[in-house]
Amino acid sequence: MIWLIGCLPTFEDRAGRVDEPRILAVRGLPAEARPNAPITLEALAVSPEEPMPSSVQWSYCEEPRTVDERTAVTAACAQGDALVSVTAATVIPGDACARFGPNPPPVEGDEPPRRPADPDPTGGYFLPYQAATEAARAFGFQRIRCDLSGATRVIFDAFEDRYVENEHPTIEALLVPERLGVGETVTLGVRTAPEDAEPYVVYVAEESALFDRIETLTASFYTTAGGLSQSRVELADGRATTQFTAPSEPGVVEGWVVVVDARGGVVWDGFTMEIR
Amino acid sequence: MIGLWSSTWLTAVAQPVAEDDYEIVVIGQSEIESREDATERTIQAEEAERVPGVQGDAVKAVQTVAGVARNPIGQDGLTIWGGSPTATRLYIDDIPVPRLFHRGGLRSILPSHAVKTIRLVPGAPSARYGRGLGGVVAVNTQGPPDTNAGFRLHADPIDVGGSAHVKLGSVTLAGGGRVGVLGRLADGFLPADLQQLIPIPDTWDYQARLHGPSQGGTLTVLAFGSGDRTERGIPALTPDAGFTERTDVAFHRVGIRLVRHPVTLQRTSLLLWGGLDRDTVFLDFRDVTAEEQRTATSLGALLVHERTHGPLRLRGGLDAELQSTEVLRDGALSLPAREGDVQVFGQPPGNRVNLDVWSARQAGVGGFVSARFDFGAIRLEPGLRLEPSVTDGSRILPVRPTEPPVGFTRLRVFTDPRLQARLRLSPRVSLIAAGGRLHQPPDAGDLSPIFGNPQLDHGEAWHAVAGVLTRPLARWTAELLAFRVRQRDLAVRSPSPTPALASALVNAGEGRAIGAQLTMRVNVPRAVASLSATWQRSERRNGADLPWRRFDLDQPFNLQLAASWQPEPFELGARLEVTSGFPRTPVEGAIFDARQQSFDPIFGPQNSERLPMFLSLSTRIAWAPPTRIGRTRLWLDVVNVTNRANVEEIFYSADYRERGTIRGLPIVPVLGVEVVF
Repeated sequence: MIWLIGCLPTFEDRAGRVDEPRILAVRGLPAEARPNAPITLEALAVSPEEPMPSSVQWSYCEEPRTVDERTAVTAACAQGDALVSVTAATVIPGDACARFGPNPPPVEGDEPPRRPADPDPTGGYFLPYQAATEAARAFGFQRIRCDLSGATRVIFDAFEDRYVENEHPTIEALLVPERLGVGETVTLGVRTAPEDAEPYVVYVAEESALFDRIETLTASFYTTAGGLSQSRVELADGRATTQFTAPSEPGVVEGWVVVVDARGGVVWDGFTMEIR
Repeated sequence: MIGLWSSTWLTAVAQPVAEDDYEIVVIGQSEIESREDATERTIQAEEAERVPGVQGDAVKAVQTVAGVARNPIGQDGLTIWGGSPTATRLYIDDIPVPRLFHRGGLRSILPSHAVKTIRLVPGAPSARYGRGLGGVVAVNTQGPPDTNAGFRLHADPIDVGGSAHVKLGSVTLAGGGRVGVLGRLADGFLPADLQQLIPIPDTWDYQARLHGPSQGGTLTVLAFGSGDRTERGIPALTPDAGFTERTDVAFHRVGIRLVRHPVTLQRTSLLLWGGLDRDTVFLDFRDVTAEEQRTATSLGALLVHERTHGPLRLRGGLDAELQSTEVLRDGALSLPAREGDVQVFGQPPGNRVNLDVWSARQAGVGGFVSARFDFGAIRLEPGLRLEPSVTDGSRILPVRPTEPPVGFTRLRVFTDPRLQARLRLSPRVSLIAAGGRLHQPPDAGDLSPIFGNPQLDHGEAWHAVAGVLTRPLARWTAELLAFRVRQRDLAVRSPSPTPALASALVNAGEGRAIGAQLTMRVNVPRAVASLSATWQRSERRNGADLPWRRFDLDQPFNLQLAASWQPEPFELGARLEVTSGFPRTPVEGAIFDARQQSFDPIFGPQNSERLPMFLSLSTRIAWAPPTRIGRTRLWLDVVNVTNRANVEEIFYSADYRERGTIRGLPIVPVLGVEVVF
């Protein structure tokens, strides 16, 4: 008999634990905008202890990723380089569609044409923004509205007619108990508005055609104590739930829910539970 | 007893078979004299299948030869002298094949009884070989059996199979096949999450052969094929963090070979072959997927003529190959991963996607000639390979509905000199040297204007090797080789965040490898002991202005110690394998991606750390009980007898604050039975 028994390490699922200062969400208002359009940046900065972080420093990453990079931003920006400081009330750079979008990057002299950025599965392009406090930093992504590139006139016009700019989802209700006993397990939930799963259109150049899609939404739960059965849950029919097990000592548990739609829209809310 | 490697020096040895009775055994002709390529090793299948730890699989024994690196668990290529597995040319009866092992590397695609020899040329091949920057592994299948008819059955936990042959007059028909059973067995005994982690493919393979005389020569028609279906992934640490990979790959080959000996000291052979390859790979990282479908049809011809005049042997011929490939790739840009990509195991592929459908036709007609001069102690064999190579593609730029598609055709002609030399210092000591230039066409899968570059050129390599072969004692042989390989124009990812259009890949890669290998063998009646040790260093850089880094499969040290003893009807053997761990890129921190709500790693210097040393002791016990009819053999092969927890991979927690290791196979006993009538 043959036995094949590898050994996979197991880790405590800490993705939903806020045990140090963190930035859990970043968004720009509006959710989608064109180059040179004004936007206002917001971040959800949290900490397991008072006081909460008060100020957030903003910058955007000016260098796109290389083709092989799997990370959300290029290594230079992840390490804190290639960043341009901005304020929370800022403007999308005028060359955003050439630097991070479908427009060909500028060339000099006799250089050959350069490869434009590739879209994400929703056909979108994004400008990375870094939000940083004294003890934490994270990258958020502002969806850029760029003109369709390389399409026929008919497709271009149809795209313009059918395209719906992204909007941030909204949280209709948080299903969170105010009090529970030590070690008790309860269900936490979030409900979004039905229209938050927005329809959108994607252009596939290879087939020279437009395809209709519906957004999916994902909820991420975070708490300062206790355990979550699943920190990240895809919404079904506008709802997502997870199981929370209260800590073994009484106290107050802070929590947050961040809902993200497939096209980069973000909304969040916080809650408090008293553990007796 | 014929040793594990090809026959040793021209020696007649007397060995006792009974009291006061001796038989004379001629061990064979000089090994060095019989080598076609200076660096070659030829393994006889019946000895190869007895190597402990290969589960009776003769072709797997090539992984124990000096110069061949240990494979990462679950991988099925061959890394030779620090070269990429894709640079190694693989042949079965001179027909090029895409792989010699089923997915996961658990078993080769040929049953041991169908194999006659496995020939490894780790570098500096003769002019006969081309279209590869690395070594050559050539498997020759068995000729027609002596008996008029027979069949064979085989079963072990990995696969079951059978074969049969029949002689009709002067023509012999033979055929056989196998199907994998390990996946079905695993369903009943392995936890589902572990089945996901270790690729256990559903496999099949078949071989068929017709052999007979034909107008002063022999005619052989052969057909073979292999297929694998695999599904694997990481059990989700959190339900949203797993990934799944599904592959379905298969290939078929058919060939007709005519060999004629019109007069003594002349030989002509003609091989015509055709093939069909179908590969589908699908990866699902929940938010991003990647899919590739590839279909390739190929035709080839190999004409070799050889003529000897005294000390001069001329060999020449044509080695032609035409391949037409259709490819569809949809999904993540970073998949499939390439050598040099900085990543950690299980890392999602990133959220940039695209779609491309393209086709390419690649043809090469390699004319080769070599002249072997034998002047007593000196042998010189200069050779030349002249190969026009045509690449024709469907698309040179990404699709633009506003413009008609523009294809391309490119002709290149390569002149590759080769040289093999030998100097016999004494009957027991010879020096060898070999070298030459090699070229390899780009892979059709890299010719996409979106995922690759239609204008990719051939890669180039220079090989140089020198060594000494010695026979210190009658039954003790030793060989020491030193090698140097330099590669350029390798297809690598463009380092620019805004590469030129249709240039995601560029011919800017360079590689270099240097090393030495020692092979020793002691061969006594009914026993053999061998040592293979390789030291090497292999590096890459993705541009002339970039620093050198370790090759992803760099393996500085590889030691194989093996011994076997055959007190009939038993066989006993053991093999110790010690190898360096593979390079890995450390993670020095993490940054939170607020859109994906997950962490991304921040990497340290590429390939700057290593997995721990790998050590494994394998044993084999076989028993061939006497039977009245036919032949039966039972064997028990145990890999990792000491149950050492070798580390195969590093694995991180979702926030990259913790890391653990994935350990490979523990003690693995495999019990097999073979019945031959």
